[in-house]
Amino acid sequence: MNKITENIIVTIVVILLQVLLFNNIQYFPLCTPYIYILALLCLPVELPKWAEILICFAIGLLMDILCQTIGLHAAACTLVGYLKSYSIKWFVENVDRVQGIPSSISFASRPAYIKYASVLIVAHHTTILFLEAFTFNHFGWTLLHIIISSAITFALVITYDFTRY
Amino acid sequence: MIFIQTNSLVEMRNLLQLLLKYNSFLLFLLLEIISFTLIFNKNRYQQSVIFNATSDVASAIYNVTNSAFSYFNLRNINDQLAQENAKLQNEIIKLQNQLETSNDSNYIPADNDIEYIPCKIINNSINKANNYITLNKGKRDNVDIDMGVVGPNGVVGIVIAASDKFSIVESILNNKSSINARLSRTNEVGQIKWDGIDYQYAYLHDIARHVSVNKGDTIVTSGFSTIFPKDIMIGTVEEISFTNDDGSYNIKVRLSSDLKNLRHVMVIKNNNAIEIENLQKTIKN
Repeated sequence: MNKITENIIVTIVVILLQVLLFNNIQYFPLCTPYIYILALLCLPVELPKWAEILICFAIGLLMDILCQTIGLHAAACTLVGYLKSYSIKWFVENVDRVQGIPSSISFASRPAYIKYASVLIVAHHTTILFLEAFTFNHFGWTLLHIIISSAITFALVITYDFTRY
Repeated sequence: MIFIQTNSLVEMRNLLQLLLKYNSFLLFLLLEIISFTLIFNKNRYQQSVIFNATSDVASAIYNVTNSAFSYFNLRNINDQLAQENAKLQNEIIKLQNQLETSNDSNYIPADNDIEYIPCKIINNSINKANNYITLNKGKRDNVDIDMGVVGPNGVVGIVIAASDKFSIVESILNNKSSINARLSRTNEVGQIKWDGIDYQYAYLHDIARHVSVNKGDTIVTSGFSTIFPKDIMIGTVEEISFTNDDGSYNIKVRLSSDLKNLRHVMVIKNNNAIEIENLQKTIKN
């Protein structure tokens, strides 16, 4: 399958899953996984940086429209778009050889992908949950919220990567 | 002259090079600033404009999924409706008794100032810091901004945006929401606010310490605004503690409406709202 169509399909599926399924899991208040971040993690490395940031911002804005939060997801996604290329540079050894969609295959190592995904997921969840809790003073609660939600998102993203590649 | 021109040209080129070098960072900064201004925009009007612009897209999607998923909750909804029916039946009997016992001379006609508009919830959240509810009715069905919303067991929230077919409610579980409340036993008035943690509890502020408050006391709407009529149930006192900063209680309130399992609500339309507000405006001016 063509890489671009694959990316577009992943993006649409993940956003629909997020909006229709994961946003409706409210039985445990500390658990709000934002799995649509997979769409951002899968953006191919060949994209110029400005395009990466713009696409991330657009996906964030789309999530804002669907979740009825104003600017929250856009802010977090823009940050992910900015950090993405740096995180690849930090964690992957042969950066020049990396091409296509970031995965444990294209990075040629699973630990590198785990580090790459975890850093971006934590950055994303921290931004969203802290901005959302901005007027509250329950620091410990928010921190716990971030840890649990990131852990669930991380588990789902890694499961996807390991089963796919 | 020529020297100055070349000098400024060089500066221009340097600036352009700088921009090109840091272009992705500048783009990042610009987009972040846009998002942050969106987030921290406290202007209620602008927010409602954005909500209106986006709600139709989102609501259409939620409408489809809701029609598919609503079957899973039929049992609970039936229970809720049965309870509400029973309550209404009791009310009818009470009113009939009142009618029979009252003389014609001091009979006061019931007021038709308040209308209830039944609505279905098509999207709801309880686990965010600012929770909103989307309803399946809008301006076409007379639902408009600043109308109160109640469920079968009590207060739910206030409408903050309405398009033609849909409306968005700022739920009681929202850090921007604050609802006038009254201790039903002592008539003391305060504000209900949510602390962002548990969807079952909110806090009652501004109750002075000399007032006697007991665990289990009922808290109802004050009726001082046109949004909610008097005596609609909000919750019961769960825990009483003192704040250090001022002379008021910190009262934990168990909310009577279960916002997690809510499917059907009613929007309260006060037919006198505009008249009352206009009257109050004339005094202020």
